[in-house]
Amino acid sequence: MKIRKIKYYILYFLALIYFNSAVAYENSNQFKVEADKSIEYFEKQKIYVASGNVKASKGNFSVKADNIKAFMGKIKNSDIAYIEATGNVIIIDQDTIAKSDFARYNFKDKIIILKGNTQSIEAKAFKLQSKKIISFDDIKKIATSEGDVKLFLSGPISIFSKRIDAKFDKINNNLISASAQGNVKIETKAETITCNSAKYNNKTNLISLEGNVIIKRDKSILTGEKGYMNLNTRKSKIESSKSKRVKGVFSPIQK
Amino acid sequence: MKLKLSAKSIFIILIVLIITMLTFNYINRNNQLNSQKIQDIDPSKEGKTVGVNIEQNQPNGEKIKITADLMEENKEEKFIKLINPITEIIKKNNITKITSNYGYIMNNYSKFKLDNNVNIYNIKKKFALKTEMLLGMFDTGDMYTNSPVKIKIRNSKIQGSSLSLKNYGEYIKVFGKAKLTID
Repeated sequence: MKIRKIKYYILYFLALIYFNSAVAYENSNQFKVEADKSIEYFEKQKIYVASGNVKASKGNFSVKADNIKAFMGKIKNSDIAYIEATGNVIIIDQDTIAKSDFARYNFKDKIIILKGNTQSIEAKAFKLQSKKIISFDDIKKIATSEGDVKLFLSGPISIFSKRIDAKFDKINNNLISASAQGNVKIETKAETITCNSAKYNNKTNLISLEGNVIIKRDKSILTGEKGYMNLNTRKSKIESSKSKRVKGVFSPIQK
Repeated sequence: MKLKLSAKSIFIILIVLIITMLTFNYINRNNQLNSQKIQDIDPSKEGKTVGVNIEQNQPNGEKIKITADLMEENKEEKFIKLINPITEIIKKNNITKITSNYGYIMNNYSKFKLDNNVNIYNIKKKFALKTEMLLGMFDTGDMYTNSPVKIKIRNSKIQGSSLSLKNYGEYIKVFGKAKLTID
């Protein structure tokens, strides 16, 4: 009986130590950095520089990169204003993964900027890729991307354009809508569409097309000024403008 | 009379034994280290001063104050050995305090080596550093060590396996598998 009591006391003591240490070290608001090579501190500039296979995290947000710089706030020195990651950058935020050569994350505005030769944001339902810049507002969940942008949706549907702005769901990061501007090309299993600008709506699953619309399906070609494509029914509609009439070239499929 | 010991009681006895051994080892090791270091001092060889108080004004306007329990001057090797030195570097009301178990001042008060339980504090900068050995220069405030180091700056903590520090902490570089946490 006595031994059992002692055993319980030991167990209680060990549990107390464990929970105390757990509470002391598991602070979700804590910014943690681990580097293989070095960590530098510049007092005047209030900058920390971590080098060599750096891993940083704060809550659900984590970054891996060759180098990470943490810039402390100018007004309140104890807060991190933003971080800059360079070289093989991988950012993971819940189910969303961003890859780039350079990334800047502003902790106050929660804006991620990805720059470099190729950068991407990927989630379960989409992948956004650009060759110039992707800016992602993590509060409004809006991504703006420029430079040979590619948006891959489930279907599969691929949208290529000079610039694509996309809006995502605040809870599950799913794509809500996307707007493509300049040299738009949309590829589905059956058709290839080119136009000046296009808008995709996930709710209606419609892509509205504008300016020099050309829809190619097998050997048939439809041209017009405006149109839309229903991704559920696979039906397309082309509208004319005052100056341009709808044209169609239909070729029978050879069996 | 037979003494029966259950597995539980053997387990408890073993835990108590391990804790006792660890405590004994820790106390014994500290005593050994202290006694060994004090034995290094040979008061018969050179001048020995109890209760040291050194003050020096640097050309750059800094004031260096050193207090220690014991000072031994080695004229042959041209260095001063200090026991429990406390160094204060005062620069425009900004005080950097350095403590250690042993200190060596070399090269005409220009270089220093601190040994065993080295701590640096600067309350104004909210800066603290802890290591086991530190080499440095008084005039530039540059320091380095190959010992593991722990640093606290405001709400951040840095850990690493060696250190290079410039101008009493204006620039710090921690080498090796380094960790940084910002609260």
